[in-house]
Amino acid sequence: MQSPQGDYGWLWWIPALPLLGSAVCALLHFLTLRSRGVFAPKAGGHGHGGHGGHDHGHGKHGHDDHAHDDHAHDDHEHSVPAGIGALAHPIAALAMLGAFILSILAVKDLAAGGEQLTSIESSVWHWIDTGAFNIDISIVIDRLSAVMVLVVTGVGFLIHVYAGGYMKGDAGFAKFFCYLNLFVFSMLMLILSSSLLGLFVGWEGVGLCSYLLIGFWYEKGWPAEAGQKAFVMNRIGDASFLIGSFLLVHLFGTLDLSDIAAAVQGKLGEDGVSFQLLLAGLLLFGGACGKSAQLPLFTWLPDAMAGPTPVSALIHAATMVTAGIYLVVRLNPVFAASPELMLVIGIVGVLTAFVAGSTALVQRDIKKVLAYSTVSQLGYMFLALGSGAFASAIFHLATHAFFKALLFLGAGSVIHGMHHEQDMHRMGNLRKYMPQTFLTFLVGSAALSGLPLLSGFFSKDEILAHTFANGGVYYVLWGIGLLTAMMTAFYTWRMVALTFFGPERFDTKKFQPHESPAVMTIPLIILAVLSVIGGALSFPPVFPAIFHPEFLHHWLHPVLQPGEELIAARGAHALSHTTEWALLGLGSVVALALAHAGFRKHMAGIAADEATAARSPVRTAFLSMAWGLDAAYQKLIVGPVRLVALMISAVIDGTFIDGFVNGAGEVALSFGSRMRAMTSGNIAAYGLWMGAITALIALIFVWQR
Amino acid sequence: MNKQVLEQMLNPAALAALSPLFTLCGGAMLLLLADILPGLAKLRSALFLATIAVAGWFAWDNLGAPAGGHIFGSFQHSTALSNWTLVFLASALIGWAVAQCYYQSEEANFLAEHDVLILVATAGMVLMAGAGDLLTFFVGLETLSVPLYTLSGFRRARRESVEAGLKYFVLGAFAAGMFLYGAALVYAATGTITIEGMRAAGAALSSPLALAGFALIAGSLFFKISVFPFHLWVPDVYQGAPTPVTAFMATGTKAAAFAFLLSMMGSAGSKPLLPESAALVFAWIAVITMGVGNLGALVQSDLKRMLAYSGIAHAGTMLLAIASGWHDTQPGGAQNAILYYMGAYVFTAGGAFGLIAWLESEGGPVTMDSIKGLAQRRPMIAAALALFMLSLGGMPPLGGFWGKYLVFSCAVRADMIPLAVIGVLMSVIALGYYLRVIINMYMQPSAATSQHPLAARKGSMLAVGICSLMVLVLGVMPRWFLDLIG
Amino acid sequence: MDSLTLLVFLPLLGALLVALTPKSATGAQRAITLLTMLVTMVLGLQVCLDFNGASAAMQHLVDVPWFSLPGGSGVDIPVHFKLGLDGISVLMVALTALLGPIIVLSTWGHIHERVKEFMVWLLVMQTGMLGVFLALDLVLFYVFWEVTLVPLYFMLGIWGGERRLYATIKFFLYTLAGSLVMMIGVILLLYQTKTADIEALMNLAPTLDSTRQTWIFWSFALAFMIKVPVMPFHTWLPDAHTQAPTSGSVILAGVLLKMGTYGLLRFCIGMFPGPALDAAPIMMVLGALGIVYGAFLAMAQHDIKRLIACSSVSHLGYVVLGLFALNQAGVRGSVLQMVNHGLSTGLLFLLVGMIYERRHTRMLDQYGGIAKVMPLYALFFGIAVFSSVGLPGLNGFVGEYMILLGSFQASPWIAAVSVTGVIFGAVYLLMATRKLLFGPLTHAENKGLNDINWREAGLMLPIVVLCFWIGVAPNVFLSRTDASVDQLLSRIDAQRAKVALVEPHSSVPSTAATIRAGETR
Repeated sequence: MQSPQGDYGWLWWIPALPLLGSAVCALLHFLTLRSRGVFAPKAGGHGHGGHGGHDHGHGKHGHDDHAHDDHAHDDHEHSVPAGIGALAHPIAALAMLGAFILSILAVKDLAAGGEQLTSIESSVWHWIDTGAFNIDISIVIDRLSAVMVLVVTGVGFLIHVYAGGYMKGDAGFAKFFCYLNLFVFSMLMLILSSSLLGLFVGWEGVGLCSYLLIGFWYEKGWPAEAGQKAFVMNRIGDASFLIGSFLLVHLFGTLDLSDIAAAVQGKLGEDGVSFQLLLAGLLLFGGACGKSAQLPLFTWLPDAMAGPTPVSALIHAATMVTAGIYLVVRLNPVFAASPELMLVIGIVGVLTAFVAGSTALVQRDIKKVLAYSTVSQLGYMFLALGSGAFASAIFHLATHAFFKALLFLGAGSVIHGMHHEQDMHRMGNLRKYMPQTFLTFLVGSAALSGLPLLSGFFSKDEILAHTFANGGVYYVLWGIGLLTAMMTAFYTWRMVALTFFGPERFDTKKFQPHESPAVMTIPLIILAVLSVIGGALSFPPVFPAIFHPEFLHHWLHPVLQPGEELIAARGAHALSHTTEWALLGLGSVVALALAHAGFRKHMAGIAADEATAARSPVRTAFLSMAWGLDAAYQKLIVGPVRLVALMISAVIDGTFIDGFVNGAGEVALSFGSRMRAMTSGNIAAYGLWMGAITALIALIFVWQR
Repeated sequence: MNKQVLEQMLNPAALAALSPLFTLCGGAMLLLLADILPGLAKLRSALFLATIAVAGWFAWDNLGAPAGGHIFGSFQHSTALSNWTLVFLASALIGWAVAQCYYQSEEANFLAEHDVLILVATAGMVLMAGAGDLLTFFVGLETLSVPLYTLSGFRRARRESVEAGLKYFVLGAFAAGMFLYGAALVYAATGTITIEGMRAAGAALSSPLALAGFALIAGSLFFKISVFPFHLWVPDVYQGAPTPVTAFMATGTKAAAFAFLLSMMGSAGSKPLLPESAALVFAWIAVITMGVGNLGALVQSDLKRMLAYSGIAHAGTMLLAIASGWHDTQPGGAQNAILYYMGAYVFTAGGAFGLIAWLESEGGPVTMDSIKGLAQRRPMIAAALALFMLSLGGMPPLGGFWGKYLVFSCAVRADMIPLAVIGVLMSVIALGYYLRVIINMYMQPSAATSQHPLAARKGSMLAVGICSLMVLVLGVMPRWFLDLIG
Repeated sequence: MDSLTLLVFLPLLGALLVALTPKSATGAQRAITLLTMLVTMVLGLQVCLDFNGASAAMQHLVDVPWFSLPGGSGVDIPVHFKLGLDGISVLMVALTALLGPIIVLSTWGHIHERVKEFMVWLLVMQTGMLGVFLALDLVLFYVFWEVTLVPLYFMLGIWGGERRLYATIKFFLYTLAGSLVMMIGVILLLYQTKTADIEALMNLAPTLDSTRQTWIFWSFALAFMIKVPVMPFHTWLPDAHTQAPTSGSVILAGVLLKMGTYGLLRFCIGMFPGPALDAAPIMMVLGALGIVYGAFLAMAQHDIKRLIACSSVSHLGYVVLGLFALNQAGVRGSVLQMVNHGLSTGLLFLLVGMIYERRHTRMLDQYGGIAKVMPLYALFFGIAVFSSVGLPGLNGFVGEYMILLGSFQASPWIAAVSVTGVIFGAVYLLMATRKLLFGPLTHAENKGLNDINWREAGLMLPIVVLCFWIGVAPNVFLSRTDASVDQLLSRIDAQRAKVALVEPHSSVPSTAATIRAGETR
């Protein structure tokens, strides 16, 4: 779909800039290492590989949440001058800024084009010629990717800025920005490429980067494991994604996203197609579950908190995890085509939201709370998709990007100020020490818990409203959704209370928590603002027209049309204004109530937690370990796989097949010794043999004539 | 004797055909003479080489000559015969060259006899290959065998040598008896002993009497080519006999026996004398022989004995070509295949035995242990031995490969594919022990058990050199020898 | 002298030169070898660049009568020394030529005694391998095919690890058994068609009666399946790989195994479309089985080299799978994947060799945290790993995707099973990476390890560049194979059509979108 304005070759620069930045940072990294003499020939024995400081004693610590704080701790004790690597921060940030500005320009053009300009597209790159069909990639910005690209580059830029402060003094300063930029590049490929396979490039690329970033402090061992887990879990999704893509090729003979989206309606008539579409959608959704950490594949995300905090913000709040939502919205007709599939998505979403939300209630690690909350919010987005509210999903995606990034960065700032303390039970009363962080964090929490008139409030409410509107079984989903909303409010304010209120639960003599530098707080402030006004993207329809209610929905209309038509064909449901108001009211009430409850209960300190733990230890344990899913996977999947592997290599391969091969040799040898026995040296015997066989031959001759 | 006989013998064609044979006999006599006449003893080598050379030249000259019987058909000339003659001469030459300064002490004084015996034996081979009737063949057989018995026992000082000679003699006599009895039966059945005669005999050929006769004849031939179960004497005798003699025996004798077997099969066009049922019998004997030989060789530690077994296996392989002779669509296919195979085998086995003879001068028998690390001590020798081993294993691009290829194509053409497959798989086993030799030479630390330093042996060096060259030539330029075969 | 003949025999010439040098002059021997390999590489790449991908015809033909074999009933089968290049061999030749110098350079690090012999064998090997890919006469092909056994046998046996003798014998006899069965097949085919010319055979072989075709097909297939190796004929490979010296492993993984897949494509599929179609389901199943089986095998390994060897079983499963999907996506993908595997696995073996030269152990538990002391090494290793994991943007992905796509079109279920390889591949390779590079530097010996030097970086660089190049612009390479592959597939389609006439029920898919071609029969 070439745009009327002709070719936007420069769109390639949007992803290219971060890629360039990443390359430069990589170079800087190796230069720094060189200056540290890593490459200098070592005398053997104890070389000065970088600074050996990173690795004392981490090995013996297992993979538990509370052991690792102190490692992170001494990471900063051994802060190293970045040397030339210090340049990495400005370079990476500038690359992001450039990408952001270019995106704005592009989106401006697109907006200027109005409804009839569906998209602007760059020159095409002919990637793979499979013979049957060609896989071409171009950079496309339509109204959906416009939203995404702004969020990714915008929030991404802020996070880059922030990271400069957070990672200061880390041994791999330059490397970090190399990865970060590489990640953004992949993410941009994901959301901008015209082809499903191009999307997959980004899809896998972000997987790689999260692998690298989660395992950034690999010397500790367990982050590397967490990274590996994340990658493998994602791969499970990717496998199903691949099959899904094959099915699409089979159905549409192309992988061009817009072509597929356009073709669905026409295809539906043919017999068997609807089922194959359902299958394709299901498989693609499987991929989405991996990336967006949905049941049953979400367990990697909490572990992913092993990475540096800005990573958590960038990858696990703002961008990567939303890839799944993007995919579904992008191919909305494929999913909208079958109501069953929609229901499945909705159920998975809401269940994930509930499970993760309940888990977040009892976490002690501030980042874990946010991690599970993220999973839970993603569940919300899928609930939205499941109830056909694609726009609402994107809306929540955007607002969530704002306030969750804010919260993560805030948490990072807290951790930074607390010298890498992450356990909320060892915090308290921090508002006294870090006011800016406190205020911004407050805003973020308010938004997350959906307090009225903040961004989160509107987006969440819109989702619940749409779910409610679908009626039928969706009422149940709505119920669970509401329940989750209550939990969200509760754990959010528990977090706030534990962190910023109550008595200090740390040794004030040992150290004084300090406010983070401006480079970190300014992004916080900007994000805070966005979290407040973000709701303006799409006010409820009941708002007066001057507010441009449902602006985002109208903006996305060209993209969502095919899907929404399919849904509308099955009978549209709209909510009366009264119900709308009622739901809004209900939403605000429960949010306020539980926020209050959560706050009240914990502002005194950890007594409440301990009480609950004491009252029902089992439940607490069950929740804190995310309903024991991880353990179950270990027992039911990882264990058996290991066993099978051993079986195969030891029994089937080692004993059976190889036994046969070697056996052949041994048999030959044993026969050989028998042969030897024949030549005993006894001439009479020889003669006998000769005579006998000759006679036999004679007999055969005569007999056969 | 009457005139007719004279002109049978003295017509130029006959003379030409028989010239190699006469040369060999003449040479032998001259050698004897030279040995007793004072001062001529030093001419020994010269005389021997001259004899071989002249005989070789005659044989070469005869290549083109028209095939046909001479002296009442008792001697059949053909291109194949000339080829065979050349093969025999090569084998004799190798055996002789290896023998030079192989023998120590008193045996060395009888080298003249040794050479004479080789020449006579070679003459016997030629006679066998060219025999047009059973009696001529028998004469040839004995002319070959008697010298070989003697040669096997040539190292009178060594018990094994004498024992080998004796064993060989006893069983050889037994085989000879079998042949004579068979010949008698065939004669009784068909009233003729010439091969043409028998071909003409028709129905009489399938009389039980004739069939029994053929079975006996086949048996005695199997003894000479040493296939299962007529092979049992081979390991003992090959091991016991002096290595040069073994080299000669292992190659020449086999060749001669095969040559006659082939002429009984009948060359291009004419149908075999032996009954069709022989095809399957021979084929199975062939396959079993391959198995027995290879498996036997697999467990040997003495190289000579190992080569003896491998020789059995090779005989089996060649017998497969004979067995396919009944249904082979290629006229003279078996003839060509076996000639090529034998041609390559003479040089590979001959060369291998030559090397062993050479290595024996380090003292003691050549075993899998004694050759450990040879590649470090004696790179050239090791390389040559490795070459021979790979050729015996039929690895391209070496002579052995094409031999194998041709033989198995006979089997395939004759539609004996399953047997062919079994056959090739047998040669996988063969590689098992050939590779072991290479492993010990190249991949094991040196054993350094050699009491004496390796003696310099011009003869062996010459022989091995020629052999390696031929193995390569036969491998890379098969056309050369194939054209020779015609 | 025409380029291909020169290309094939130049290494042999070099070998002779090296053989003439005195034993002690290792410097000269290395120099000569490297030089020869470099010239060969330039020549080889030159030839491949001149190659016109648009035409399916054989190019750079060399055709000299060699000798003739008896072909039954007095007919002679002329055997020629015939070489030529087409879309099926071009990438293989390029790969072989390219890896030559790299392998020589890698020997600097690990071949210290008996250098002369090694260099000789290395060069002989090169001649053999190039011959295999270029030979256009069946007999000539067979000769080269078997010639390649001997050099590797020596490399394994002399310079190998602790269990080298077992490994080398196993490798030799195992592969030989296959080759000899193939020899019977060759004999039979020649006897039936009275020609040894491969181009002629492409047209004559399909005219034989089908049962005979089937037999010959399988006699060939067996030899190739052992060489690839296709599960369950794979057990020689892990031993050979583990025991071989680095350079041996690189040759093995880089080129030698591809001779098997190449043979499957050129002979089994190229000459016997009928039997190939019949065998396709079996072969695809074996391929899929290999993918999963190899992956599980790899998961259980503690010896990094053995692990990579097992991964080869898995990766070559993909190639077989794609070849017998018998459609464009599959076959093209496989042809590309042959190269990819050669590059990425070759690179992995080089890297493993380098760490082995420093620490003299292959056991993963002896490592950990290497990335800290050897960051550059870690970078290369990471690239190698993700290229064989099949990360988009690197070479592995393109091949894998096309293969899986093709196999999906041929048989969705087999494809579905094979896709799990994408997961398992990540599992064992990342596991190995973690144990090797990440975690704390617990072993004191590892703290003193030196990062890779210029030579090592230099010899890996070309491979890395290619990994990215193929990953980003695969068409450059695919385009050279198109014409020949399409020609091959058109013959398959013709066969499909024929079958369809016989049994009207079965659908007649065209290569464009072959849906479950495997399943119809």
